[in-house]
Parts: sequence; C-alpha cells; structure tokens
Amino acid sequence: MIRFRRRRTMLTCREVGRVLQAHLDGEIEHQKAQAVATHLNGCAGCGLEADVYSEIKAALRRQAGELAPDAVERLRRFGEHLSAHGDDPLSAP
Amino acid sequence: MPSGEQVQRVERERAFAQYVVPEIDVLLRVATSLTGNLADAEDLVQDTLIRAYRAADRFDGRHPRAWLLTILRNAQRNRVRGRRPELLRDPDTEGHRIEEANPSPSAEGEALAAEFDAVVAEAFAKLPRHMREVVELVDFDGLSYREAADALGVPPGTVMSRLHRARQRIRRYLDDRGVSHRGQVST
Ligand SMILES: [Zn+2]
Repeated sequence: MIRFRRRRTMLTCREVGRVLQAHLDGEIEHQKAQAVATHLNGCAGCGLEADVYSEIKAALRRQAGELAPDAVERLRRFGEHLSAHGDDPLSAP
Repeated sequence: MPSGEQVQRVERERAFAQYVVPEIDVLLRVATSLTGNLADAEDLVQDTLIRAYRAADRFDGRHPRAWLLTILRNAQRNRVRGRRPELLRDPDTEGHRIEEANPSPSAEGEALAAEFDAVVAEAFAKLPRHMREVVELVDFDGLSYREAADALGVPPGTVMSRLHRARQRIRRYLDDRGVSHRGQVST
C-alpha cells in the first residue's frame, strides 16, 4: 500500500508529458500538480518542455488586444440603465 | 407594503449588480473572440445583458460566469441563425490584434523575444478556426477549460484536446523555424 502510494507520487516523463499543458493552465488538482512540479524540478528534459509551453502560453497572452475602454464603458452604462429602468424597449438609452 | 412585482424587481437589480456587472469585461473579451470584431461583440454583450437581466431573479448565485457564458452562447447562436451566410465571420479577415511591447534587458534579447512572439502569432493565424477559438478563450481571455466549454457549448475534454493540439502545432512551427525559445534561437 505504502509502496503503491510512493510509486504513484513519482511520475514518469510520459505521465508528466500527458498532463503538462493542463498543469501549466492550472487545471489539475493540487496533489497531482505538486507531483508534476517535483518532477519538473528534477528532470531537465521535462523542465525544458515546460519552459517552451510556458513561453508559448505567455506569447499567446500577449497577442490579446487591449479591451476597448469606451466599449466597456458603454456596456457598463447600458447595464446601469437596465438596472434603473428595466428592459422596456421604449426607455432604451 | 411592497408588491410582489416590486420585490422581484429589487431582487433582480441586486443580482444583476452583484453577478453580472463585474463580468462585463470578460463577456466583452469572449464575445470578441466568438464574433471576431468589436461591433458585433458589443451587440452580443448587450443581448447577453438583457437576457441576464430578465433571468437574474431566478439565478441561484452559483458560478455566475458559467451562467453568463451560457447565456452569451445562446444569444450568439440566435444572432448567427438570423443572419445570411455571407455575413458570417470569415476567419481569414479577422481584425488584427495589437501586440504589446515587452521590456527586455538587451537589444539582442529584445529582438529575439519579438521574433518569438511574431512566429507564435504566425503559427496561431495558421491554426484551424476551432483551435484558434479555444486558444483565444483560454490564453487571450483567461477562461478556465470549464468556462470555455460553457462559452462554446462543448465538453471540457474537447476544449482541452483542441487547446493542447493547438499549442503542439505552434510548438512544431517554432521548431521548424529554429525559434524554440524566447531569447534563444537554436542553430
Ligand atoms: Zn521527465
């Protein structure tokens, strides 16, 4: 039993590869995430792989344009108007 | 003594202010990803706000973002259905997004970082639409797999596999061009 648990916390490179992207997205549960982090610290190959995907993810994040502030402002006002006057089309802003 | 209608209205306003208004930014991001342009996105968020307002008094307060994304998806589906096919979003003519500048210590490092970002952008543009969509929702808009699944009306497993394959393709594209790392071009 103890042995089995130990084995389970030591992930193979293959196992890490399967969950690596989900791990970087913060989509795997805590215990597994810790096991993956431990593996990444001790394994140069998987660590490098994780770096590459982190960089890709960060580069994609930078592709996202800024939200147009005037559009956000208009929608906020629209929301406030809805709250104050209901959705009667005759009172549309 | 307030009437039942007044109580319902007050409840609706409270729920709307508490759950809907804070999500307007996210809704606009997601709507931009789904429609491909700001004008349509703004219309879509307006539709979504009206639908959410009407349903707010019946919302149980759990997972407001998931609830709103589902409303947004339904609103989008209605809009698309009501349109002529030639007006549907053409994935090849989507608006370009502004790239943010990244401060980097050296000029050389800066150039390499810019090249890395440019190649990622190129690889992203070559992805099929269904892959680009999940990349936009998760990496651009910051949604979780579950939230992206709600926005698209597909299972979270589908979001995950599309997203992972998309990033694998980008990775291969980078490898093929010898740009495997930011700030480090392999020879
Ligand atoms: Zn490994």
